[in-house]
Amino acid sequence: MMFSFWEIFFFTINTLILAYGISITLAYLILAALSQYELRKYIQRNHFTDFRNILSSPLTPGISLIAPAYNEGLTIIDNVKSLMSIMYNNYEIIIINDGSKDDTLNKMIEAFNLVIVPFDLQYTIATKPVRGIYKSQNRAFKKLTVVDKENGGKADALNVGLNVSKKDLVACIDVDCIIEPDALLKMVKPFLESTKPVIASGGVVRIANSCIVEDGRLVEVKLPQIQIARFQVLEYIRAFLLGRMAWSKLNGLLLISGAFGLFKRDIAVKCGGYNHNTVGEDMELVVRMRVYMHKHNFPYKVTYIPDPLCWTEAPASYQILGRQRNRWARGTFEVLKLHRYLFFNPKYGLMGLVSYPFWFFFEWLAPFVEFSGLLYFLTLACIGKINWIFFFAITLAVYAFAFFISMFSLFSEETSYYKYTQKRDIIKMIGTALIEPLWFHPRVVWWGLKGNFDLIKGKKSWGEMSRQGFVQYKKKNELVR
Amino acid sequence: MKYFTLTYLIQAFSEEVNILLSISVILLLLSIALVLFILISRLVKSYHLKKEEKFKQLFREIIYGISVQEKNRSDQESDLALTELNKNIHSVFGQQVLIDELIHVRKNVVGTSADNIYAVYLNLELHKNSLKKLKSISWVTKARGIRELAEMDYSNAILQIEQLLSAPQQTIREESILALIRLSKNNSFNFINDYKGEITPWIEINIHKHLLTLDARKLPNFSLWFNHSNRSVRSFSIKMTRLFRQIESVPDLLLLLSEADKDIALLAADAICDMAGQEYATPLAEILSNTWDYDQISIRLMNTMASIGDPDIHSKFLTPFLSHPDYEVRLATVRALEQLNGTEQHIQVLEKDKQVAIQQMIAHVNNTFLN
Repeated sequence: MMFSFWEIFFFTINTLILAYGISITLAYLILAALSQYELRKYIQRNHFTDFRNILSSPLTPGISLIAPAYNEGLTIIDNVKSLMSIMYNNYEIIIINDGSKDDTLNKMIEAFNLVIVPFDLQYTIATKPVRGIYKSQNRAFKKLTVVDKENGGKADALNVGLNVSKKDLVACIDVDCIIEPDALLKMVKPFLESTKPVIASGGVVRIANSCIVEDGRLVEVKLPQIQIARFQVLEYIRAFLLGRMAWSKLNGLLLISGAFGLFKRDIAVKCGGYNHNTVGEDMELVVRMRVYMHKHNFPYKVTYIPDPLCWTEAPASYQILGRQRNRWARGTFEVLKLHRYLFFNPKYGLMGLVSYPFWFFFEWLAPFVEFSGLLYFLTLACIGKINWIFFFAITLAVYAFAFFISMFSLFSEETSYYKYTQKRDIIKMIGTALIEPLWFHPRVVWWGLKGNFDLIKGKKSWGEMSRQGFVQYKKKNELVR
Repeated sequence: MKYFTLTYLIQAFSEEVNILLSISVILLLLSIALVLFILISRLVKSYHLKKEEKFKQLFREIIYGISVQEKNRSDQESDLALTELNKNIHSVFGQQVLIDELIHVRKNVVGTSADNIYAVYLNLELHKNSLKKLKSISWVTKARGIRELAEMDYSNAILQIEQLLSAPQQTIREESILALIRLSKNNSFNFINDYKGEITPWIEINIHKHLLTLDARKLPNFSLWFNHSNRSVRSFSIKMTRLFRQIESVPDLLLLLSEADKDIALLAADAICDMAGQEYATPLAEILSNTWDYDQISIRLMNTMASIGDPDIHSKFLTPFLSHPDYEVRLATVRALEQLNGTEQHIQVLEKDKQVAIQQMIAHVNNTFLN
């Protein structure tokens, strides 16, 4: 029996799509199971931990908190005060004013009584020129250093921070994030307890929209009131509790969120610091640090802490969210392209054989597969080649799987950190999980595709990310009271 | 009607469709089960919390009563209190809440009060509960048992705990070390002689915290383990020597500076930096010239020289380091020289651009806000 060209063509495409679907499903299931196992273990282990021992010990490593600030005049004072109230014995705060056009620097000079100091800065990592380094005349703000530099972007600002820092570890954070007071105590623990040297550690980032914030501190966790932020809550829980925990277990973590990560300073500097030429600088640094350790045959680990330690304000409009996802897509591709030599390269162990291919096939390629799948379906529908019963059955299966994974992530959250305590929050989250695959996910796919096309067109910018600011929530809540 | 029966539908669809539908149904059922679990777990959580709170309140009142009991209080009163406690610990849950409460109270009291709490632990035979946990398959339960015995100072468990020092689970090993140090009052560090596991910085922090509660004069001489075959034991002993300022060990630390293992040498330099007196300035200055290739050790020794060196005798050992290739070493040298008798006089021989660079360093190290 002879098969026509089109029969072979359709069979091949169908088989490839099916194989891809099965692989991605299995990958997510394995990651979810591993994450759940690791999460349990982490919680059980830390049942025996008294983090106050770290707080009072002279044996803890020093940490530099590096926070780049660009046009943050509205909230910078609250942000810095919040950082100053972090519980840790041996730390310094380095705020990098990345050529802000507003009054960010002046506000800090005034609020913290800053004066310029003759800091003998070494440009160990090349950066844009530094205009001045400020220290406070008030001993209460001794931990604070403010660096004023020409605008060069986030990566450049972080590199200045690496040059200024004198501590063993550096925590690179977004200045507008809210860091839990005990965040450093928890983040530093893997560096202390691991028998293998830890070079970087990441923490969970959670969505703070609608949460109550007072004096730069999160005082009450609330589920966001707007649907777009709730979609992101679900996404973040899924990504952080069901994804990164498993990669940490496998020692295959490639991404530590730019919002909050802790790194060994000497390794980060030896690797050349953050890369200016990508918008995915957070992921790129982790990959480069890992490559460096591999090349030198040094044993190492990249760990991840499931405790919710950092709270960020999620984009509250589809336009801004689109810009963010567009940037993430470009960043992913840039990093994968820069480190393409890792692709199925056994020299780099699990990173080359599993982590990189996973990112390539299931993170970067996924929007293309989904979109071309849709086009393929429409073509088949037009020529009457659709088995509609099969189509509905497979759509239902995919939908059921998406819903199941979301429910599993809520289950993980419920049995671990239990942050959303109101009963109606759970109902809202179930509702969110039900509509997410139909309403939110297609947009994510589109933004991902657009990001890749923008990259081809040469787009390099971050895209403006305007935020409402936590202060507004505080004021709103005060008004309600 | 036959079109809507399950049998008809199953027969009507192809095998692939039936598989997909089965998967969907299973996943949806699992999702519903998870939702139910979430909702039920909230009820269970609040029930447990209430129950625990009830037990806690009851126990706390009695325990506080017992803890402040004077020696002369009648046995009858004690018996009454014990009977009251005993009545409520028939369940494992009740026993655990009581153990946790006893530990919580005992952490905050000393002397007779602590002894009274310990007596309750023994009289109610709760130590048997903790000892039983050591035999559990679950590492969490095992670790919990070790912690309970250590917190209650139940030294009869030393032998059982010693056997867990080589357990495969890290938390059990950590808890065992801490428990042994706590329970072996007179020879807390005996086990360390043959210890082959890793003493991580986390264990060091916990041991140090415990040792701070003891009389420093009763601590062992940590230099005994400076040449231990286990590298992490050596590192631990050097750190403890420094933190408890065992000054008599400085000569031994000086020997460690020439160690092949440069991490150990660096720790020794750290300890010397904190403890060495002026009598060690000359030997250290001589050693300094041999540390040129080891930046971090040079920096530590330079910091030491800054505080114990004699400007007239030792500056000449320091000045070559003004031309060291590493910036941090040069900065430490400038800092040391500034503290001794100033740097300016030593830089005349350097090239012009190096002089400018060092003057910037001088401004840096002399700025009040940068120190």
